[in-house]
Amino acid sequence: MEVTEEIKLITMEDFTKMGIKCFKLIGLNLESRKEVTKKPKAFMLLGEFHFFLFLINIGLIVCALLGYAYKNLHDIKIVARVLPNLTNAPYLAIKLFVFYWNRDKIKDALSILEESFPKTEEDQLNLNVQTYLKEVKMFVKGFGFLIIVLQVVLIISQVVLIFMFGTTKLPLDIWLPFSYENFIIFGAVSLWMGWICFVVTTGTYAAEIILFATISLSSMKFDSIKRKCENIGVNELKTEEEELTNIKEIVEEQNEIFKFIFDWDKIFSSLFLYNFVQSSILLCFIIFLLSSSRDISTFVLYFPYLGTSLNQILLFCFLGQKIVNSSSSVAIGIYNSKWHQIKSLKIRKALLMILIRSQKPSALTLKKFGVMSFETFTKILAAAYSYFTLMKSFM
Amino acid sequence: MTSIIESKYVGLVSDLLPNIRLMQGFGHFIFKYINGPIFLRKVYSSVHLVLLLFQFLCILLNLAQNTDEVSELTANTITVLFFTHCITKFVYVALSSENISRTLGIWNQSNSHPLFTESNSRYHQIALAKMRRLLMLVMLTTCIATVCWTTITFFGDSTKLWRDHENNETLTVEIPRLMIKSWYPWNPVGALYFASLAFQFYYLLFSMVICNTSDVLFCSWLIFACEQLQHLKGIMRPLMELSATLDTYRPNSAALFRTVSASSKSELILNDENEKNSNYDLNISTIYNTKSDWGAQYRAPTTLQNFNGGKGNNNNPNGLTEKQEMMVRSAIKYWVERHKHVVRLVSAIGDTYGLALLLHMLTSTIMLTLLAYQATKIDGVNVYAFSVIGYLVYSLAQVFLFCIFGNRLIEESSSVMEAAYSCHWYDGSEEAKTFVQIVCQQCQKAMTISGAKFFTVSLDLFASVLGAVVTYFMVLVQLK
Repeated sequence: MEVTEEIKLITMEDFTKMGIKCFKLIGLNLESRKEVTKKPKAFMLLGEFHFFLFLINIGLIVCALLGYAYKNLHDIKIVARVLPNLTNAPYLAIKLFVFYWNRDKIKDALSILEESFPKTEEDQLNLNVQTYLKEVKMFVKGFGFLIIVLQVVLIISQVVLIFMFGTTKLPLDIWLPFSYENFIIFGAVSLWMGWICFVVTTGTYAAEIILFATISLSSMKFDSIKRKCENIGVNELKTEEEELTNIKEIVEEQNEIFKFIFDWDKIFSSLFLYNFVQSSILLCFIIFLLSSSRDISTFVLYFPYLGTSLNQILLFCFLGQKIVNSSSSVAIGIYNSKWHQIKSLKIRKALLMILIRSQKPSALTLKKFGVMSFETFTKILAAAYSYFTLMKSFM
Repeated sequence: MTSIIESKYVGLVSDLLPNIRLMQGFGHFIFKYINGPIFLRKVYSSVHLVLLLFQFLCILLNLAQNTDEVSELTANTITVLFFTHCITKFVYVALSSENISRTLGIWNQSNSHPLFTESNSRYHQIALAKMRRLLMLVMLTTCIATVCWTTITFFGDSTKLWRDHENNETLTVEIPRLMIKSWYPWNPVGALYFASLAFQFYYLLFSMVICNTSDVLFCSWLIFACEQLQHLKGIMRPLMELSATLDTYRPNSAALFRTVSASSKSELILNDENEKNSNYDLNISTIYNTKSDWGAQYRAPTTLQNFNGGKGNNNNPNGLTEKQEMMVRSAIKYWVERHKHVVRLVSAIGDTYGLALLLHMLTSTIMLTLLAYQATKIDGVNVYAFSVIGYLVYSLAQVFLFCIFGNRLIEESSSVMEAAYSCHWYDGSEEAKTFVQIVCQQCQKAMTISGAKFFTVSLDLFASVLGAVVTYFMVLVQLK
C-alpha cells in the first residue's frame, strides 16, 4: 500500500508564529483584530499593562546605570566596563518601545502580507514556500538556542558566585539608592533584574523573528513575481487579453509589496539607524578594549558584546540585501520571458514599464542616510577598523 | 495702500516677499521689487557694506597682531572664518542679483488646467506655509544666537594670551570686554566702550541675519520645487483614470489620429502597429489583433466601468466626445509642461546659488577643522567650552539646513517614477502609457543641486562633514 502523505497547507502564521507567541508572553499583542470575547480581552489588557510596567522599569535600570557611571567617573576602567551595557540597554528598550508604539501599523502591514500570501496548495508548491519556511525555522531555532545558552551561562555563573563565593554581586553594575547587603533585599533586586532580563531577551528574540519572517515573506513575494514574469509569452495559445490581465495582476502584486516595504520602512528606519550608529560605536570601542587588554577576564567579559554588535549589523544588512536582491531580480525575470516572441505592442510596452520600475531596487533605508545592504556593512566595518587603527597607533 | 502695490507681484516673488523684504531691510543689494527711490536704497546698502567691511578688517588686524600664541591664533582664525560667510554672501548676492531675480521670475507664468487647479493651490498653500515657518524659525534662532553670544561675553575673564618674547612665557593680558576680539583705532573705554559694544552687537546681528536670509531664500526655492513635485505625483492617478476612457474610443480614433499631423507621437505608434499587422500570418492576426477585436474586447471588461473621475459619461461605450478627448490630451500636456517647468526652476536654482554653496563649504570645512582642534582643549564646563560648542553647533546647523532640503529634492524627484508606476497605468490609453513610460525613464535620474559641480547637496555631504570633524578631533586628541 502506498503511504499517502498529507501535505499540510502552510499559512502565514507558521512564519511569524514564534515571534507573535513570544510577544504575547511579554504582553504585546500583534495578532490581527478578530472578535475577542471578554476573557481574552481582559488578558490582552493585562498583558499591555505588564508591558507598560516593563518599559518603566527598564527606564529605571537605564537611569541606575547612568547613575553608576556618573558616580565612578574618576575611574576610567569602571566606566569602560559599564559602557557596553549603557549603550545596549536603551537600544533594547527603544526597540521594544517602537514595536509597542507602532503595533497598529505593524498589524496593518502584516495584514497586507497576509492578503497576498498564496493560499492554494498548487501555488505553494510553485512558489517553494517550504524552502522559505525552512529558512525561517532554522533562524528561529538557531537564534533561540544561542539565547538560551547565554541565559543559562549567566544564571549559572551568578548562582556559582553567590553560593560558592558568597559575594553579593548583581548581574548588572548599577547604582541603587539603598544598600543591598541584606540577603532578602539582594534576592528581591536580583529577581527584579532577572525579570527585566527575561522580558528583554524574549522581546528581542520575538522582534528579530518578526523582522526575519516578514523580510523572508516579502522576498518570497518578489521571487513569485519574478517567476510569473518569466512565464509571460511562454504559452503561445494565450490571447492578448489574457496576457494583459496576467500582466495587470503582476503589476498590482508588485505595487502591494512595494507599499508593504514602504510602510515597514517608515515604522522601522529610525530604529535601524539608531541600531547601526550604536553598534558601530560599540564595535569600535570593544575592538579597541580587546586589543589593549592583557588578561583573559576582560576578553571573556567583552567578547559577547562584540558578538552581539556584529551580529546586529550583519543580520540587518543580510535582510536588507535580501530585499535588494529579490526586488531587482524581477527585472531579470522580465528579460528572461519570451518577450522577443511576443508580437503585441501593448504587451511589450507594459513589459518595458515593469522593467524600468524594477531596475530601481526597493530597499530598507536608514532614514535618508543610506540603504541596508552588504555595501553599507562593508562601509561600516571599514570605518570602524580605520578608527580602531587610528586609536591604537596613538595609544 | 501698500497692499495694493504689493499685490502686483506674482509667482515666487509674492510667495517669498517677506524673505525679500527682510533681505532688503538688512542691507542686501537687491533693488528690484521696490516702489521707492532706488538711490537711497543703494546708499543704505553701501553704508552697511562699508561698516561690515570695516569691522571685518578690524578683526583681521587683530588676527595679524596676535600670531605668536597658537591658541590665540586658532581662536582668531575661527572668528575670521565665521564672519567670512557674511561678507561672501553679501558680495555674492550683490554680484548675482540679476540671476536671483531671474530665478524668482521663472515661476511668473505657470500653466493651469481646470481639472488640477484644486490640487495645485493646495500644494501651493502647503509650500507657502512651510516657507513662512522656516523663515520664522531661522530668524528666531539667529536672534537667540546673538543674544546668547552677547550674554556669554559678560561671564568669565575677558583676557587674551600673550607671548612674552623676553622671558619666553605666556602671559594673560586684559582686554576690553567685547563680543569679538578686535582692534579698534580708538581706545574702547568709558563712553567709547559702550559705543563699541553697540557697534559689535549691530555687527553680530546683521552679519548673522544677512548670511541666514540668503540661505533661507535658497531653501524656500527648494521647498517650492518639492511641493510642485508632490502636486505632480498627486495628479498622476486621476490623469490615468481620465485617460482610461480614451481607449473606448479606439476603433473610431484611428481615423481621428490619421488626420493629426505627422509629428504627433500617437500616429507614429499606430503606424508601427499597422506595419506589424501587415507582416502577420493570417492565423496569428486573427489571434492577436484587429482593432475591432481589441475594441470589442475592451468594451467588455469591468476595469473601465468603475472609473468615476473626470468629466464625461463613460457608460456609453462609444463614449468620449471630442471635447473630452482634448481634455485628456491637455491634461497630459499640463503634466509634462509643469514637470519641465520644475526642472527649469531647479537648474536655475543650481546655477544661481551653487557657487555660494561651494564657498560656504570651503570656509566651513577649514573652520570645522580648527574647531575640532579647539575642542580638544576643553577641560571643564566653562565659558570656553560653551563658546566652542556654540560655534560648532551653529556651523553644523548651517550646513545641515541646506543639506536636508537638497536631500528632500533628490528624494521627491526620484519618487515620481514610483508614483507613476503605482497608478493604474495598464488601464490607460496607449498615449497615456507612452507618457508614463517616458516619465519613468526620465525620472530615474534624480534632480540634484550641486555646489558648482564639485559636490551634490545631500545628507551624504553632511554625514561626510560630520565624519571628517570627528576624525580630525580624534587625531588631534592623540597628538596633544
